[in-house]
Parts: sequence; C-alpha cells; structure tokens
Amino acid sequence: MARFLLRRALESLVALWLASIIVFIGVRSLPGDPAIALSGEGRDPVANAAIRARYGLDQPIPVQYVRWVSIALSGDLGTSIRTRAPVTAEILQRIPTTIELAVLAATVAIAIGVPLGILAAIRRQTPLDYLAGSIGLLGLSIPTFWLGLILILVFAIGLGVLPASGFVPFLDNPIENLRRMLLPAIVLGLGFGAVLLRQLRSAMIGSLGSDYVRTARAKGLTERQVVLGHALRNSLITVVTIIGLELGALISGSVVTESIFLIPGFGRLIIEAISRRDYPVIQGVALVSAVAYIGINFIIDVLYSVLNPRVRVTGRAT
Amino acid sequence: MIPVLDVRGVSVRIRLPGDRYVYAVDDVSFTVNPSEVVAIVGESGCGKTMLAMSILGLLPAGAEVTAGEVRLGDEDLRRATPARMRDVRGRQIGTIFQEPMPSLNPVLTIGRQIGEVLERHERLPSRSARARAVELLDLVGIPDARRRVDQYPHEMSGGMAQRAMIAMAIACKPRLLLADEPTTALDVTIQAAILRVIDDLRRQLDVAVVLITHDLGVVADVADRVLVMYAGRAVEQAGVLDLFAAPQHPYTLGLLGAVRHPTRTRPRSRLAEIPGIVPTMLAPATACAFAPRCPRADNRCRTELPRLEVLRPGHAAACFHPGAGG
Amino acid sequence: MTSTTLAVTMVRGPGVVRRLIARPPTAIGLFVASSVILIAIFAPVVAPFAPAANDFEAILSPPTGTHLFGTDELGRDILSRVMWGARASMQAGLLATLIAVAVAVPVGLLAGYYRGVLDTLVMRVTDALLAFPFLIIAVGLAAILGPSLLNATVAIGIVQAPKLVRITRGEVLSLREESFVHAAVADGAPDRSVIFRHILPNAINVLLVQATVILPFAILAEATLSFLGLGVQPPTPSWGVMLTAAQPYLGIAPWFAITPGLAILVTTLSFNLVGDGLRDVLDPRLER
Repeated sequence: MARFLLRRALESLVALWLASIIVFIGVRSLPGDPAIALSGEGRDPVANAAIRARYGLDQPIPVQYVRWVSIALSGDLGTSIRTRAPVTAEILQRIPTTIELAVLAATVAIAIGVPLGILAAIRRQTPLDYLAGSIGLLGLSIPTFWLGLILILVFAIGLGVLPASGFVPFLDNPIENLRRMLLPAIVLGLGFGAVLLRQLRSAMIGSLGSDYVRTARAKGLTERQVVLGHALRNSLITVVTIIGLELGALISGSVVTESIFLIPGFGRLIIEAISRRDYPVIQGVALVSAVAYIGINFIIDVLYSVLNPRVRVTGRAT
Repeated sequence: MIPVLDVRGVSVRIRLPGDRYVYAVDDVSFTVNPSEVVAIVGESGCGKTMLAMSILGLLPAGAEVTAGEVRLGDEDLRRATPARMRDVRGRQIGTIFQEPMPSLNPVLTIGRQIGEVLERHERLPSRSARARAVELLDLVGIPDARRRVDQYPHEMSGGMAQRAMIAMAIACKPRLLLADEPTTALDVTIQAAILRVIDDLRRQLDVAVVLITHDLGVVADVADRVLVMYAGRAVEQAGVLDLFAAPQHPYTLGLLGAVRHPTRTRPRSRLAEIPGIVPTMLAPATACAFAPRCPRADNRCRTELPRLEVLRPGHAAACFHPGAGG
Repeated sequence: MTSTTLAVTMVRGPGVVRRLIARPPTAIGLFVASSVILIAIFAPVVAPFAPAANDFEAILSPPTGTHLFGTDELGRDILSRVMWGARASMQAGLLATLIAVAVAVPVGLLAGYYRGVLDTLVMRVTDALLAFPFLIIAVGLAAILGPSLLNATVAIGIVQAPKLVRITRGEVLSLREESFVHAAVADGAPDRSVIFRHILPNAINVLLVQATVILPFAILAEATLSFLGLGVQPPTPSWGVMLTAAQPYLGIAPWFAITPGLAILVTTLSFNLVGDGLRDVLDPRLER
C-alpha cells in the first residue's frame, strides 16, 4: 500500500506543478499590464516599479515563474483589484460556505443515488428500474441553473415556503442557514446524484452477476447479506473512484448555484471576478481549485487503497 | 436406506429471446446414497451444470424446472420456499464450483468467507467462526492455516483456493456435496490432490457427493457410480467398475475411446474422436439425439426415443443397440 | 498469413441503425435530436418572427395565439428566439465534440502505442488539466480572449479532451496486446498501418460512445457559459442568454424562464438517449 501511495503522491505533485505552469501561462497571457494582472496593484508608477522588481518582470520567463511560485507558496496571491483586500483572505473567507454547500449537496446526492442505484440493480428490467433510470437520465440532462430557477419559482414565489436567496452564516442561525441552503443543495446534488445512481447501478449489476455472488447464494446467505455484504462491498470501489472524478464538476456546479441563490461562496467569487476583470482573484481561484482537486483525489486514492485489498497487500491494483 | 438425494424425472428448459426454448435437461433421474460418490459425466453443453443448479435452486434467470422432483432425504426441494432453500444451501448442501478464484469474493478474507457460512447457519459468533475456519482450512490440507485465514483469495494459488472453497462447502457438515467440475481449471498435478481431499472428507464426514465432470480420469479415480448424460438426457447409468469394464451405450464407448489408456492403446496412435458436436435441443427429444454421430444408428434410432432400460443389475442404458465393443 | 480485425459490431455494420430504432427510448431520442438539428438549420424559415424583432407594445406578455411562448423583456417572440437559439447550442455541441475528438484521439493513440516518456508526459499533463474545473478554464479563456461563442466552444472542447485522451489510451493499451496486432507487427507492418488499420477501427466503438457522452455535456456547458455571460453575447439568441434575461422577471413572467430551459432539457435528454442506445448496441459488455 505504501508503494502505491508513494507513487500516487509523486504523480500528484507533478500534476500540481504542471497545473501551476498552466495557470502561470494563463495569467501572463492576459491583456494589459502584467504587473497589475499578477498582483492587483501597481497603478501608480512607483508601486508599479516595486511590483515589477518583486515579480522579476524584466527577467526571463522561467525566472518569473519561479518568483511567482515562491510568492504564491508564501501565501500571497495578490490583491483583489476590486476590494483592495488580499486575495488569499477573500478566498479563505468564502471557502467554508462552499464546503458547506458541497457537503449538503453530497448528502443529497448520496441519499438519492445510492438507494436508487442499488434498487435499480436488484430489480432490473422492472418498472422500478426504469423509474430510477429515468431519474438518473433527467438528473444528467437538466441544466442546473434552470432547475434552480424552477425551484425558486415553485417553492419561493409560488408556495412561499423557502427563501429565494440570501445567506445566513451557520454559526449565526443554523435553522435559517439550512433553510436557505436547502434548494441550492438539491440543485447541486441532483446532477451528482444522477451520475452516482447510474454508476452504482452499473457496478452492482456487474457484481450481482459475478461468480462470487453465485457462491454467496450457494452458501445460503440471505439476499440482504448477498446484496450488501458482497455485491455492494465490491461496487463501492468503483463508485469511490468516480466520486473523485466528479468533484471537479461539483466545484463548477457551485459557481452557477451560488450565483442564482446569491450565496457568497467560492464559486460566486469566480463569477464576480470575471465580470470585473479581477485577474488576481481569477488566478488565485484557479490555483486553489487545482490544489483542492488534486488533493482530494489523492485522498480518494488513499480510500481506494484501503478498500481494495489487492492494492493494500501488493501495492498494485491488479 | 433412504438415499440422501433422489432426483426423479427432472426437466429444465431455458428461455431464449423470441419465445424459443433450449431443453437443457430432459427427464433425468438418479439417486445418491450416504457416503457415495456419483459422477455425472458428459461433454460441455450436455446439461450437467443445469441439473446441478436445479438441485440447488439456483437456476439463472430464464431457466426453469418444468417437471420432476428433487428429494433431499424426505423433503421435495422443488416445493420449498425461497427462505427454506436458503436454509438448505450451505447447511444441507455444500457446493464447489469450477473456477475457485472468481468464485471467491476478492475483498473479503478467506476466514471471513468461511466464517459467514458458520455465522449464518450455526449462529456462531465471529470469534468462534474464525477459529472453526482455521480448523477447516487445516482439515482440507492448507498449511499454515492460522496465517492463511486472514489472507485474501488473490494471495493463494488455484489449488489452495479450491481447498478453501471445499472448506467453505463442508463447514456445516452438509449431507450432500455438489462439486461442479472441481478440478477442470486446475493443473493436472493439483487435480489428484483435490480429489484426494474430497474423497477423504467424504469418508470422514459421511457426506454424499455429486461430482460433475467431463474427465473420465476423475471418474475412474473417485466415483462409485456414474451417470452419463448426452444432450440433456441420461444415456447410461452404472457402477464405475461396470461402466469401464463393459460400457453399453455407444456414446460412453466413444468417451472411453477418447481417453488414452496407459496400457491398451499403441503408442503414437490417434485418439478416437466422436465426429460431430453435441446438439442444442431446441425441442424436446423425439428420437435418439446421439443418432447423427452414432456408428450403430438405424431407422428406429432416428424416429423413436430410447429410454433407460436395465441391462444388467445396477447397469442401465438408453439405446436400441446396446453392447460393449462397437 | 493475413491478420484479421476483431471488431464485433462495427459502426458501419448494417444492423446498427435498425437495432437503435428498435428500442423506444432511443427512437424517441433520435427523433427529437434530429428535429432540433433541423430546427437549428432551418430556423430562418421555420421561426414565425425575426429573433431581433422588438415590439414594445407587447413586453413580457404571456403565451397567446400569435406568440406561442410569449414575449421577452424587449417584446421579442420567445418561440422564434428559442428556435434560433438552437443554432448556438448545436454549433457549440458539435464543434466542441469535434475539437475534443480531433485533439484527444491522436494524442491518446500515440501515447498508448508508443508508451515510454511520451506516455508519461501525456498522463501527467492530462492529470494537470483535469485538475481544473471546467468553469475555471472557461473563465480563464474568456478573460484572455474575450467572451464569445467560439471561445466558449473551444473551452468546452479543451475541457473534454483529457478524459477522452485517457479513454483512448486505455483502449489502445488493451488492443495492442491482442493477437491480431502481434500478427500484423510480425508481418512487418509499419506502425502507421498497425495503428490506423488495426487498432483504430477496433477502438472506434468505444470512442463513438464517448463522443455521445461529450455532446450533451457540451450543449449544457454552452448554455451554462452563456448564462454566466461567458459565451454567446446578447443580442444573439441563445438559450442560456435568454435565461439570464428571464431571471429578474421570474415572478411576473415565469413562461420566459420555463421555455428556454425546457428546450435545453429536451435537447440534452434526447442526445443522452441516443448515446445510451448507441452504447447498448455497440458496447454490450457494459451490461445494461
């Protein structure tokens, strides 16, 4: 297992490094004065000269890259052109909200996707299967922003039971916070849940048709033991890997959801930044997203190695 | 003496797309007495696995038993509820399958998989189940059982995995052991060892064995009585010595001729083949299914269905022209 | 000895279309998808009104006989704009898929066939690209090049490419171990021939299935980007742009928000149905 994880850690670091290069190239390709694009400051000539020196803008590109990376690693992601606040601080302030949204959305997704996926696999080719399949297909095809608008239409404007937008920090008022997060969580979680449903159904059908399930039945185990203890246990490995891959979509989805429901999170920051050409924020957001994604996938790898005995024992997946 | 297993006139058909059926098993009967090994022999596609699955009640989707009784002791398993069958499986009937590796769950330890059966049927707590699992692994000849019990299937060789499967099958001391081609997927050198294990266990635990195989060598090694199947029907039944000494059905003769006998055939002579292949029965048989490939076939064979007739005590064949030496 | 190709069900196979149509969901999907494509092509002919035709007398009016879907905030007929909007979606969908395939398949083929340093490099770069959520890349491209439908389309294509590279590479890795490939190499066939005449035809099924997954995503993505202001710019009609405009009037003119979104849903759904059907027919090992 250690061998596997070590290899994955190295690969993650290389990916991270390449991702930073991509961001760097992106930022340097932006129109306008690179000093402002990189740091957000430097409108007056004196400050500008200082910034140019700090980021080494008269040096060759590779040197500029090294400077930029070291500055970023020290925690300084520049200053927001709009708010004049440090980008790092802005991001840190917004992330917990998005994490809360993501966790709630994941809960919704698992609550929908897992039971339906299992049921669909057990009751293959029955009306229940087709129903679950339709829900899955719908969840994949529905535009998140439209779903948000429709839900607002029905629940906020039509029925008036839930607020349309606005945000209350959890620590201030948990009930109000959850009330406002409910619709966004459903909107974000539905698409994710649909993917989960389909993948789990597929994996379960494979497991249920396998030889070891036949053996489990031949041993006289109850259907519950067979489905949960054998088939599901094996399908989890596949599902966990897929969740890791979908996390990127979750971050993208949060952008739209937060925009519609006016939630001041990390995702909405991206949109605010683009409309105001706030390049340092865009740069910071891109870096943080990449780091988060690669980091979370590494954690998924750890989980994978725990769940898959082949990896745990031999250090290889096959 | 009541036989452990009494199969009477079982027929199985499998549904194909388009409302067609394959008649996989047609009116097969046989009995197995305590401590006896009955071998069911035939080529691939002759219905032997479907027969075994029908005993277990584990036919695949689309397959159904259309006739007959399957009596385990004095109980007709065909009438049993699904819950009752789940109690019977693992406890009264133990099963081992052809390929041990895919038949074991890759993410659970061997000990866990054996322990499961004990926890389910004998309500043992996990610790006792694990201890029993170690004893069972010992019993089937796995060295270093204490360490092996916590290993995963992929850490074992094929032969060892099959031993583990046997341990799993006999954990609750069943009355009947169903072995579906237990040695086919294994190296020749391991085959003999596995058969030894089955034979020893049969004696120690007084369990009846149904051994499905296409390998006559295996039959000669451990079987007491033999049922030869062709295209879903029983074509010959006899004690093992009788079958090898005086086979009656031309198909059996063909099978025996296709086995290299260490002393009888001349060196470097061709193995006798039976020309043609086993037919797929898309309709129930109305004539002898072996006729197209049979050197003795005549008009009667092609128009009438031969039934099992007792030719000698304990020896029956379904043929209009039985007799040794074709 | 000639080496034989393996493909079980080739795309060109005669029974494929027939088998696709045999399943009701796929047939419906095929019908709807073709209708959308036709509407997109013939929008100027089929739409009752010009997409830019303002009518300040009839702002935000509900569906009537003349305006079947109602009118928007500038009095323009929503039905016509929805029809015209199909163009942006279809353009984006097809072009983005094409870009992804054109980039990913050659890279995946080469990486999978030649392995070695090239393969490692490709794998790490795809890792890095996959680390960026789709929206970040779209935002970045919009920031650098300016928002437009074309840039949005390119962004979508770039985002889908890494996954397709991985899949192509995976197929190549398993195919190159097949005996018919060994036979071709032993016959002295040049690399080019092995790749194009033996490996690629057998990988096409899987790749085609993947393309049918990318297309619906591209349609959704274009709508999302346009909604956020990063894609199609008003006044060009696009379903996403229409929803942006509809948002402030959600309470008083709900039909404005419902119909374009429904169009997105129906279109994406139909392509997904076709994709599912294609997968069932071409890649039966994925048990359904």
